Amino acid sequence: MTDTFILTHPELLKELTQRLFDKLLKRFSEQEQNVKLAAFSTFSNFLRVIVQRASNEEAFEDLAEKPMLIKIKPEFVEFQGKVVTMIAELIKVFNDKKASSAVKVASSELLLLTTINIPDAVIQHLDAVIKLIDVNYSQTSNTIELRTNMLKILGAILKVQVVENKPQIERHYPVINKLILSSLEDKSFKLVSEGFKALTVFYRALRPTLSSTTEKFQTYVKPVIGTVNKTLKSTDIDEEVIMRDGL
Amino acid sequence: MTINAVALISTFGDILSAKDLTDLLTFLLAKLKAEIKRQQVMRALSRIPSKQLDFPENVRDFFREGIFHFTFLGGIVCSAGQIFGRIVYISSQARPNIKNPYTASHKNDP
Repeated sequence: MTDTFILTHPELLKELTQRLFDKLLKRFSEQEQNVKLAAFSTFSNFLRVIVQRASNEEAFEDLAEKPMLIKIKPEFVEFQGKVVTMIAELIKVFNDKKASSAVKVASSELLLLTTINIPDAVIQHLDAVIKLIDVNYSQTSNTIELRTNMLKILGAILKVQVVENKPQIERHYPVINKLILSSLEDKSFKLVSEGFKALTVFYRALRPTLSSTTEKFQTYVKPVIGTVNKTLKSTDIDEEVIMRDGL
Repeated sequence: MTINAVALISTFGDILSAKDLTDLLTFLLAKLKAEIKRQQVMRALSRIPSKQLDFPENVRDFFREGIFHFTFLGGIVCSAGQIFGRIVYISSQARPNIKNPYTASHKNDP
């Protein structure tokens, strides 16, 4: 019901947030899965409504080249602290060993949306978020959807780095690099594709402090050139086979 | 994938070795064979900030060969040549006696 109010009565949103935010947040630890999922959905709608997009966003076709054009509306800036608290609760959901696959996927979508819309809130829990991405991506028993979302969150964090060049993100480059390289070798096309998207943003994040002789170039860029060449070659062969066989 | 390769060139074009650049461009040129890939490559290549990159001399030769080949084929492919031309900012220095990398990279085609 709160969902409907958020979407249909934006003028009530500020009052609703003041009254209900903390109560809804407690639902994250609810035993009943459907209640938990409904709480995630409400927070997703809340995050969509409290931000605004710059009008020239359409000028950037490629997501990787898009600068940070999403800003929290001035009247909701005071709630950023509450979003930081929400991230902390969300991390607890991921760490809950009893959490079902559906709950984990839904919470990863909420985390992704928060990273895109209010990145500063996520950066405040960066160490825990990177660890969460590492664990949930590396577990091959997790669903492809969850693992893909982990790479999407990684890409969104790297986008922040392209614009703001934060030392606390740079500290995690070895883990980020390991995850991206691992995704490029995965059997799932979805993961490979998402990995390449994250890698494209990683290039841009790396570039400002890089030259051919720097350690960063040798560590992060040099190893992927061969993989990119190999993938370009193999996709080309696939295409030739399809064309030849008329598939 | 193609977008990623182009991003690699556009971001690190000035510091990648001539061999790496030439390898990447050879595979990209090969992708111009299929219509879908052609559009994707052309769109992606148009984003390369030409004046910011200082390509080595042998890579410039590579572009000249590309321009010759695509101009020779004519039609829609000709515009790909124009894009390659824009990248290195050279207009009409194609040399007809240069070995063609496009056909050379596909000698095993059926």
